[in-house]
Amino acid sequence: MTFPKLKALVLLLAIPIGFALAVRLGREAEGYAKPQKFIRLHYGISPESLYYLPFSMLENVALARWAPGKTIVIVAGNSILNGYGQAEPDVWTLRLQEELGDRYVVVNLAFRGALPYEAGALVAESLLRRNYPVVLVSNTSPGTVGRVAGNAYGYLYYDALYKGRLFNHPARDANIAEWEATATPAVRAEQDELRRAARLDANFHFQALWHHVGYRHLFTTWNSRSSPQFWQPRASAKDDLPVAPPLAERFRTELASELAITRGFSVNLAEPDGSGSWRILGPPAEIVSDLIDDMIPPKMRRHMVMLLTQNAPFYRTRLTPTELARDNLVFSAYEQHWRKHGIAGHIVGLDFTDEDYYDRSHLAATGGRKLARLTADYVRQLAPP
Amino acid sequence: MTPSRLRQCGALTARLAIGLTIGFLLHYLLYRLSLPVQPFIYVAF
Repeated sequence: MTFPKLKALVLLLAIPIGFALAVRLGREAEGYAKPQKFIRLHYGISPESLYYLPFSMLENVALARWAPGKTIVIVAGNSILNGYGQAEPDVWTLRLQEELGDRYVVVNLAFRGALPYEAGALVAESLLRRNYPVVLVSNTSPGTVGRVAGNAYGYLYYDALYKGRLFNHPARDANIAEWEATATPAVRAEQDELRRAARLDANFHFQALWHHVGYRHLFTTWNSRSSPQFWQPRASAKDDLPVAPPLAERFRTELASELAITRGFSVNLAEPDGSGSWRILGPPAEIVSDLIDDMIPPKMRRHMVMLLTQNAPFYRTRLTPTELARDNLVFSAYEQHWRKHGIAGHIVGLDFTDEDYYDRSHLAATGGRKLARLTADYVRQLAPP
Repeated sequence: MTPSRLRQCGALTARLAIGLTIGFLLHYLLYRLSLPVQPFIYVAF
């Protein structure tokens, strides 16, 4: 063999060897890579700054805290449970850990804008499937369930699915297939792309490796949120989520629009019953019922606490008595709705004060403490896993 | 080792290093292509 041919051969052989080495490092990273000193998902470690944490990282955060004899409490849900409005040392899940004590380990995997059974909730499902003692705490508003796929954090569903992390739940697969069949071509193409990426990652393990590199060493993708120093490792990103200002400075956003949102929690879910009161509308309740059945595997349900988070009294007290009656009826009815499906639904916030809220929906530190006390009781009320 | 043999070894080591780097880059490319954001061509490095 001539020397130029030998050089070419070495180069060609080294390429797959390099790729295989990276795959191996990625597979190993799936077992250990996770954010350090983790409290919650802030902007630096979330998709808002193009940091799409892989499913394995979320699992590793939970498993790193677990020890035999302890129950893992996964807090999923949206920005309210993420602690938006509370400074990092005041995040309500730290208080929940104090309330629950050493027998429980609380992990806040709530993503801003997530649906009640999305993202972090799937981590609880995965851990339960692997026989870890788990409680899932999530939140929603009446009438909202949504799908595990098709939203901002849908990539985590495919990631977990193709790595074999989830319960076999044919109703969920059928629901998503049915939804996709009626979706626009753009949505279908997007879902196809997510599935392809997840299938490739299940074989080549690139997400864990390069997210680990991005967290510990160097982040390689420009994004406006961490610009101009976008290359800084995400381990150095500070938790800079907003913190509630003094009470006098809160609730200053446009009253009319916030009131419209508050009314919107119940306006399409009940109708006048003809005798001056309200009754629950059938079709939206049926949709919620179907989605709970389709999205949440039965084995998960007795391990779940679903919080129906109320709006701040600043807005609720500005509803007319009729609107308030509708709001109360809808919250109570949907609380029962979750319970009918074997899930411990609880309304929270009715006895909170304006001081407990950062804005219409998010809680300040005092509200977080109240939420922690309530949630600790609800978690203890569940049958031991 | 003669200087020419040394040069040949250096050249082969360089090819090996380049090949390994390309392999890692292909792996990195999968990560970048699969970020659920804009199409790859629009993503600024």
